[in-house]
Amino acid sequence: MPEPLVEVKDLHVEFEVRDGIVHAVDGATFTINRGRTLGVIGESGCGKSVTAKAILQMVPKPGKVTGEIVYHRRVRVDGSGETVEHVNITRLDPDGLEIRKIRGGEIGMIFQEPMSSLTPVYTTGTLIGEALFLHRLVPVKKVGDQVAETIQETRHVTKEEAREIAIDMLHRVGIPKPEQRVDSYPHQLSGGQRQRVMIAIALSCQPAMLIADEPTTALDVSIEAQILDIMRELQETVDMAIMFITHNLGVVAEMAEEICVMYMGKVVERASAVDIFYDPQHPYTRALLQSIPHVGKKSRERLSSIRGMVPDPFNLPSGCVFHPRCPEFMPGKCDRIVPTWTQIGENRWARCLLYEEV
Amino acid sequence: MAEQVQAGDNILLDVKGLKKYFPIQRGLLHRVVGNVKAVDDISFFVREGETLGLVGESGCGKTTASRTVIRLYEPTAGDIHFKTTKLSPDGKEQMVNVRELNREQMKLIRQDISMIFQDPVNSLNPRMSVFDIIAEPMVIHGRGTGPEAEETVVRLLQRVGLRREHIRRYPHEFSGGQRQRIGIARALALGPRLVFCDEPVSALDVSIQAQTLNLLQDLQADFDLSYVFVAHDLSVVQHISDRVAVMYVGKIAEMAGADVLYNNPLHPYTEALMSAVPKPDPKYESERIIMKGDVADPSNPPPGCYFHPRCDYAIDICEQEEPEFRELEPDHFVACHRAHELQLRGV
Repeated sequence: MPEPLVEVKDLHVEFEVRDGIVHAVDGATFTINRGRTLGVIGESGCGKSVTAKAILQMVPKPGKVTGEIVYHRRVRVDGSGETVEHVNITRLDPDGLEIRKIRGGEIGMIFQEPMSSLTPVYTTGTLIGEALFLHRLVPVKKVGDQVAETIQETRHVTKEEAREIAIDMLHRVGIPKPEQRVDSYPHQLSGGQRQRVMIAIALSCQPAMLIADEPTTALDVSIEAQILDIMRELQETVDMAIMFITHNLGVVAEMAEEICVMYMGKVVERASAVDIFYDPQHPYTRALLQSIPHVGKKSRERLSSIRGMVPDPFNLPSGCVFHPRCPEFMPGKCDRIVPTWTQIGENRWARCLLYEEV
Repeated sequence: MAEQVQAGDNILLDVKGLKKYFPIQRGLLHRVVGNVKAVDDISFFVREGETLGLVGESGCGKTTASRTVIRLYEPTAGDIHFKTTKLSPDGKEQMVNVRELNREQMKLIRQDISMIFQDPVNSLNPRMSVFDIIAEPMVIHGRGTGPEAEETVVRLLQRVGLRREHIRRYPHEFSGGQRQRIGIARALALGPRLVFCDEPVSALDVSIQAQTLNLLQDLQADFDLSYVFVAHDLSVVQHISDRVAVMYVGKIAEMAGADVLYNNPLHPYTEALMSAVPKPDPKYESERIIMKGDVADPSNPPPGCYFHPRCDYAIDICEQEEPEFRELEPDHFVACHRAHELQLRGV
């Protein structure tokens, strides 16, 4: 039985700007299980990244977050082992102590742009060390404390330890000569190496979950393959959950066990990866899958494309937001009634009037 | 190395031994201390009405190669033969060496060759209206002004799927896909024969990407265009191309018909690149070849075959001698010492 790690319930994120209100995320509901990978796919502007930022309370101003994000934190209790504590992240102060412990420490994040998300004036060792000083605790060994279970006190890492851990992390993400690279600045590294450093920073604090926001989009296929491999390998060794955000259907097929498909701030379908690719239910998912060219298939055929464009976020269509582009548009229904989140099978949900009695 | 290239008479563009080196300058006197060999002795050809895909990792010289062909960069060496009617007084087709043309002749040739750029945001001047953007090439070449030009622009706009009322708008009023359509309309304004498409869909979303690819194919049929399609997305390139050339560190590793290349590669780099493409199929058991290390540095490439430090099949000769780019099978060119003996896996 998979154990939930982060439960997102009816999440809304709104931005009130001069031209009106943008509903960047509009009622997202999903669960990320411990040690598993959830893929989130959708086109740009569909709310993938904002959802990820909401989980870490990093939604930029003037964003307003409502709904619930429940983080199941494992806590060690004296004598009786572990219990699970529920933290509602949306209620936390975005600058408070609590979220700062979670952000980077218990939930790590990798950003899309390895070029611009590393501070250019620090060496990789300093960058990894920064996370370590904030989050990594090592047990204090006192005389007489022989058994690991009895160790109660912890302390922050020292400078020397941080450097050692940094070298070890660089080695684990496959950077050659980590003893030298720990003193390199980001501009001395290639794009793939920078992304590895990002991964090393995110994983150095042994998070329970990693949010990867388009981690390979800026990279070449050969480097992408290396990075995906490293992420999978590390996931196995540390039992970490991954929320993998991408628009690349090939990447998500390889990484994710479960997939959420987003369109205009709404999760339109959620199912296992196999179901999404072999038996998609929502018309948007189907259209998306048909519009990509497949390597190895006969070339020179026309692609089936989704007609029209992504609608203007200030001026959303009535009813189902996908109806103007939908091949299965039902006049009189889809343009009037907003579809609800409906369970359509075992462990799969969709937001479409095809599966509702109206 | 491309003798039979001349045998075919439907060759539109024939590039031989093209080189583009960017000097590295150091010190007060700007002494040249080395060269970035962005394009290093490549040969390829484009037949009339076909699409040649150019793939490779970033920094391999795809874009430089296409820019050097139309002399946006001055070639360091090599010949670029292009078939055109623009330079002969009687309007007959002839092969001209683009590299030897002067400024005025080059201007005439540029009516025949145009380019679609990667970034639909930065390649359109934000202070020009759609009409000005698309009409600019016509103005430069003295091809129509006033209402006539407007009619042409409207026709082009409609052809790429935009509407008449868009003509007075500015680029910021359009989405990424629409902007790319404006870029395509501009490229077609002078009725070119050859269009260089430099990553035309890589900045677009999946659904918009499909629309744009379909549009490019329709236009090719309607206007009898040839494309050189530069991209890093292998599935897109296979979809749109008749033939594909794979580049690695300034050189062409392999060039063949798209389906042949994808199903029966002869170069280990092509094989590794194919296997690295993530397949949109969760049940697919990947047997990926993970290439070791990073792409070679074009200013300081390894000796012998540039790919040998990352190649699983490398033997002694690969470290010493540079492989020749040869036609191993009809219309299948490869630069690998062991191409004839290796059994490589396609997609």
